[in-house]
Amino acid sequence: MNSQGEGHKTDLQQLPPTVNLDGSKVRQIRESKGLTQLYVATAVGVTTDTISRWENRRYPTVKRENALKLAEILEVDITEILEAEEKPSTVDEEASQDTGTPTMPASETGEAREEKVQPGEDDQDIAPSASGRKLLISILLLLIMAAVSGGTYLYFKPHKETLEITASRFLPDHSAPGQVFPVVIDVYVKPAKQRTLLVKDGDHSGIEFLKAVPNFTSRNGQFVKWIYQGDLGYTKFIYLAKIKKGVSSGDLFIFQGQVTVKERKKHSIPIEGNNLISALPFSWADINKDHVIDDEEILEAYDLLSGIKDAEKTLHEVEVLWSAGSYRWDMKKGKFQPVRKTTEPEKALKQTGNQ
Amino acid sequence: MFQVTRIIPFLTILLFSFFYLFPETAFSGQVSGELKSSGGDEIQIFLKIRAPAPNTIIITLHLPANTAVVSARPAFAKAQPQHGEVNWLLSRVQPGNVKIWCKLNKNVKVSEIIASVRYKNPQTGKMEEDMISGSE
Repeated sequence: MNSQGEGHKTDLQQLPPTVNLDGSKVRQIRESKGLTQLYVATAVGVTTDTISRWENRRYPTVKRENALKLAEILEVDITEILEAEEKPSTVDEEASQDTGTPTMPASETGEAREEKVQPGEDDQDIAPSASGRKLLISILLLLIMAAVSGGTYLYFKPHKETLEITASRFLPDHSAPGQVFPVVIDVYVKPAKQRTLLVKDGDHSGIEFLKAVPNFTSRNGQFVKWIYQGDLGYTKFIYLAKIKKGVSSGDLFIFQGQVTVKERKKHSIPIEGNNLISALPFSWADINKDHVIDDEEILEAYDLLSGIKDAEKTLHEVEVLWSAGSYRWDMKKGKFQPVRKTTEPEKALKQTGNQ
Repeated sequence: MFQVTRIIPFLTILLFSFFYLFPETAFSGQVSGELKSSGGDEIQIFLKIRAPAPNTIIITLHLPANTAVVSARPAFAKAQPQHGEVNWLLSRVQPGNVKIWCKLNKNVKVSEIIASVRYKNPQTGKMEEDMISGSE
């Protein structure tokens, strides 16, 4: 016993505060020695229920002192009744009770405490071992890290914007050779933001390009081009052109154009809308070609070009034709002549009216 | 007993809320006007332009037979005496009030004149023509 006591002293210093017993080994030794659970319980200072629990569990966690007492009573070395590869437990039965965790009460402290055992005391049976808990914690941490990383990526990742570009052209159906007509290109880019826009429009031949708002970046005999930088959303490009003199009446001119937006890669779309203009002896504003510019036609022309300084002359020419009531094409002079159906006295009246 | 006067404040609030929420229903178009006679051979046209204002408006006066405009401010843009018609073309119109004054070659009652205003509605893109009512 003395040697064992010395051994216990040595063990006492080496063992952790709680140890895991080998329950089946405890039962085996106790039964081989013919000891009852009551005897062992009394000797250790715990209840028979506690002894039963120790024996029925595979590796119950008990306090180091109780384990040593048990080993002494069973007359074996402490190492014989410990779990084969004893590792210090991270859960103290008594500590878990203090925190109110519904685990097994520390029944080892005596009968008085044993009476307080609640129905849920066996919860510790299903509690994972220390290594299992570490694994669970690791998985949990990994999941949290994955969630945080995923959230951060989703928050900071560049939003994929769908670039929407539309471009439409207003081109009159007809114009007389040598007479100025307007072309309006409406470009709509969504979402609106700082971008570079390339607009190219024109005809292969027969058209002379005059002025533009905004100014052309470049032009030649066939095409006009704008390189436009700005906070693009809705942008209007207007230019004045005329059919070259000498073409035959009825000649057709085909306009082709495209809009390119540079954003990482190029997005190009063709300019939609009317792309045909024919050389005819009618004003471009005379939509129904009846040699009369009516109210609707003059309003349309103003709606298109009002406020454009370079288009004022063109607009004034149309207004003169509207004001006259009708017009005719003077082929020799190559221009429109207003036709007034007013008598001389009426003309005089109008002149005095505008004084 | 039900008192009609009790619901007047409620109806007023309802009416104001309706016109505030749906202002386009309060008026027939972007331009409204009134034709007034300031005595004998002089007439005035008062126009109220609402936002968004149309770019350009055409005001037309249909005068009785043998009647002509002898003077106008601003000057008219087109006259077709054979039809008794006079037109003003006003471009770059801004929201607000516009006044047109004109002197005729003889005394004419306002009720004998037909006036209208034409414009392209910037909200709908459609051509509209509104009659201008007259008052002596």
